[in-house]
Amino acid sequence: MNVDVGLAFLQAILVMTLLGFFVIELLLPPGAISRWLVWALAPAVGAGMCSMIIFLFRRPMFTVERGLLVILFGLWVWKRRPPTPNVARLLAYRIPFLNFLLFSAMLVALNAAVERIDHIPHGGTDGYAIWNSHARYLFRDPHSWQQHIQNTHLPDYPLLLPTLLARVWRYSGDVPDLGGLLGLLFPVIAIAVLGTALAELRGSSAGVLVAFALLTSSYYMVLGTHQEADIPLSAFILCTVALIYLYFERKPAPKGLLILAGFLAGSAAWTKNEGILFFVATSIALAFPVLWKPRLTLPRVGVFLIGAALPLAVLVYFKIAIAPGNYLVSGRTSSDLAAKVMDLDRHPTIFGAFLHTAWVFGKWAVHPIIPLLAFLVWRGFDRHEIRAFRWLTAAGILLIALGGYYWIYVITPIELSVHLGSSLDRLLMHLWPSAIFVIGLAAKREGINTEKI
Amino acid sequence: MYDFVRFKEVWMSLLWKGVRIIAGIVVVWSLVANFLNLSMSFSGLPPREKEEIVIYEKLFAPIRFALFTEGYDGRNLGYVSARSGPDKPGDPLDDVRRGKLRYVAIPLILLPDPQGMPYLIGDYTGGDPIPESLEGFVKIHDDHSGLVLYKKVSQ
Repeated sequence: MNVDVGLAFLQAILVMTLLGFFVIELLLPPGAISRWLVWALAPAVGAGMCSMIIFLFRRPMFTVERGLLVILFGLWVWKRRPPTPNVARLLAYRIPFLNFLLFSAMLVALNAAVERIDHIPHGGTDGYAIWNSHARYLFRDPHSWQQHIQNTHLPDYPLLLPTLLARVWRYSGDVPDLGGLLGLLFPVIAIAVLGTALAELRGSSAGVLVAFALLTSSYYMVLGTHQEADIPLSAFILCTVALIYLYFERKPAPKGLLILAGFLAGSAAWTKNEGILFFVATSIALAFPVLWKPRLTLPRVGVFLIGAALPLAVLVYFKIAIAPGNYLVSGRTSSDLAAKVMDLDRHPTIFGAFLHTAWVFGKWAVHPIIPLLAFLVWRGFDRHEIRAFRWLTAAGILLIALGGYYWIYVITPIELSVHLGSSLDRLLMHLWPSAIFVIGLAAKREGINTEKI
Repeated sequence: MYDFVRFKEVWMSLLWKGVRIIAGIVVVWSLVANFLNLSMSFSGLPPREKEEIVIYEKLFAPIRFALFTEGYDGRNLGYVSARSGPDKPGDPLDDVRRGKLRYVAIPLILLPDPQGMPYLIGDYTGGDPIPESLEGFVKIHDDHSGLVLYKKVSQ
């Protein structure tokens, strides 16, 4: 990989991030969330946008991206009237010690991850067999990829990651390593969103600690180099959960947060079939209060769905017009499904596998739940928080999604032990960043008396 | 009475400080241990040149060029090896190798069934002897790398 390729790759990421930044800034009132969090969320929002641009426009992709960038920049300047950057203030900035430690650890980890990508430039098994194969058809077969993608493994999988990789190749050329670098962007997004969101909500030490817990979840970072869609999906899930929590936490609640959450939940559905389940779980959690507060809840769900409309429309078009049936549901009969559900041997097997895998799926030396609980002891446990609607909604989304995963295993047509063994660790990884975000939220805010639990 | 309450408060405060110190130590120790574990988990892979897909990419480039010079504008290619092909049952190991070669060949489509294919890719990279011809096919490209191209003999 030469310097030209590297610079073109950086340009692709910069354009994507700026598109996301301007959209977030335009959707939210000033000060709704910190500027750090805006920048952390920007690549995720930009990734969703750029994926849909290349899917819908293909050839004039550059024109559309740059045209949109100019329009959004103009609107941002007109609406926000940003002050001239204060260079003296920027130069006077001193990085806090804990943040410095986290950044240093991230640099070391990223350096090792890039080296690993050099050893496996085409990714892991799913990386080349599914995601990179789809990306190659999109890039190398622009006129008839819809037809020929059927010759790959699992051609019904959504296309966010392959379209993003095809986009990067259009910027930089068909260099396989770029898939790995793109894959590495998503753990970085997740760590940044986790750190900045928790720093804003619970203080910087909580943000740094929980971000560190994610960074040191070895399998999470290693999967990032495998060029598979599990880590991008986990990043979209985390962004959605964090935005929904912030929506309920802010007074008055900015609707823009919910629109962005909808867009990112839709992008999760456009990333992987499990993302569709997450989207449904989020919709259920948001719609649940309709039972006692219909007047408040229905408009809220409506705003969320407005944000999700574009990615969902793209997904529905893909599923109807291009993708073949999914192996989980194609050719299944209700009696077959009922037999699986009623097979009482399956339930303890799945439950046991969930319990066992939950302890080892990150391939860590010490399960991060131990330092996180220790942190709660050290900082103090906020009993009121875990009874708050915002916290219950965030946790509820994850529990519904986890329950959905359980039932997928119940009805799977694949031999149960094979299916559990080959996928459960990755499925738990989808929810892991959001789970530690929710645990981190149970800590008291920085500065509040921590003398007693 | 006063002394007992004061005594209890002091002890509870000291106890709580101790618990917090232990909690802090647990946090630091766990994160350091996990960070060291992370550093190790990135290593242990063979060099890039030994990676099977990287090898296939290198071997397939001349075959792609040979198909170009043949003027082949179709998409489908058949796959044969010492264990798979006409009159031979499939082989699980070949499924993995064909999966990798299928990825490398994109946008060409590598199919396991050679019936009706104008060209066949012969995968003899495992050191198997390379046949000069297959039934109905003649070898048109072989640079002794183990990956060869056969063309259907016109009737």
